[in-house]
Amino acid sequence: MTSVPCKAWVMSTEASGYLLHQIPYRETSSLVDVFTLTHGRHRLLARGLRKPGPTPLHPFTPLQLAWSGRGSLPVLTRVEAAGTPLTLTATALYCGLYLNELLIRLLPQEDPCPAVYAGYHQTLTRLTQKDCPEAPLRYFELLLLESLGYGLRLDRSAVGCPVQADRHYHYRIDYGLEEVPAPTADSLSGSTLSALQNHTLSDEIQLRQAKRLMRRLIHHYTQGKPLGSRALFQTRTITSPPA
Amino acid sequence: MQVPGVLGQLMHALRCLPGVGPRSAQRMAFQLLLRDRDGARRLAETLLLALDRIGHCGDCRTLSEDPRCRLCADPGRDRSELCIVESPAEVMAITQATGFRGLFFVLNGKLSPLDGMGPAQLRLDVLESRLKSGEIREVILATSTTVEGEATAHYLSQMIRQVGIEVSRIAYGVPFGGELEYVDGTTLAHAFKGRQTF
Ligand SMILES: [Zn+2]
Repeated sequence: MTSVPCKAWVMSTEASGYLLHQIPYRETSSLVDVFTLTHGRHRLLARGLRKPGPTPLHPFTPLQLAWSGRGSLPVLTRVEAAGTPLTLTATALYCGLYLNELLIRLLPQEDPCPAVYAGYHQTLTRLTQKDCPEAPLRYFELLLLESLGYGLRLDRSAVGCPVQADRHYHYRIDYGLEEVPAPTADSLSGSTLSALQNHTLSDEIQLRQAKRLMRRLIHHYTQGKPLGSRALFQTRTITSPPA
Repeated sequence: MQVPGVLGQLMHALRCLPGVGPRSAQRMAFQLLLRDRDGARRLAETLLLALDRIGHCGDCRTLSEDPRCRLCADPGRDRSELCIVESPAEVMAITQATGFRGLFFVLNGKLSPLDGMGPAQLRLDVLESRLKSGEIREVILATSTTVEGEATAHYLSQMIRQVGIEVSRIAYGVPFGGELEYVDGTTLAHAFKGRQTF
């Protein structure tokens, strides 16, 4: 890297990060949304990147980024792969795109979130393994909402009673858990709640209940605007051709 | 600075072309109005004609003047093989480079949730009726080797397998004649993962 003479008003910054999204801009440039460890989600101008030739600037590749300038649109000055690309395939790839969409939709710009960054890296890594992606997605969603300040209290009801494994609860947004006398379509068992919190979600019922809860919360915090990546999970069904 | 009048309007209109910013738009406008007025008139007329006459082929969705494009109407093509690509430009590239004798389907895009491109935007209903026609035995997915191209390929493969048609995906690879040392890490990782028995 050639060193650029440092002017007092030009600030140069370096950070490790991931590419979330890239939008073509002007002739050969792009606007890139990156998620960095030290600066959170950040939009940069990447010049000349759409020229033919390889670039490590792809989603799910750990990157080392450098940019200069502050204000509305800093310029990306250097990008290098900082590790092996995490190869996501099939459903895991949809999950990865879902995580990126969540971050773009929910994370404020330039607000460092080291815990979410670590969780993102860890979740992507788990998605590259062949296990069921459901549980890691739930833990990431929970971590993200907590980091954004929408802290969910899952070990006590809103009135302060400890959650009991064999009881049933309903989660009211901006209020907390309410015990319900019998399970309903929307309720969660105490065991699901503690499994979600302790990262031990295991059986179908727990996964289904946790998914319903997180889906409802994310729907609420994304102002009800649907997430495009969800459509990928529904395979278009083809009615069989007449014999 | 905003240029007033029709000149300003023209410069603004030219900026709908990919890669044309205010400066190139100004250069183009002056070229057309000062140095090549005949060319400008021809361009304007051809553009209108093209807009009126060119639509999408009803079979493959590529750009076509006829309801069915020349390639789809050619009786010499192998109708049992279908290659799915992202854009009309790739139809030409694949035909010229590979000598592929089958038919094509053009998505005119790829799945990219953050850009508002979902399954509903890709006219998969047209693809579906092609698949149901019963003449296709093999589908070759030739979407780009980007994350979005990969997601598109996976989505299509899930959809196509339901009707029992064989699906394959073009290989990721090291560029021909390339020294491994100079190949970027992502390409090399994919090529390594997709290695073949030798
Ligand atoms: Zn056609």
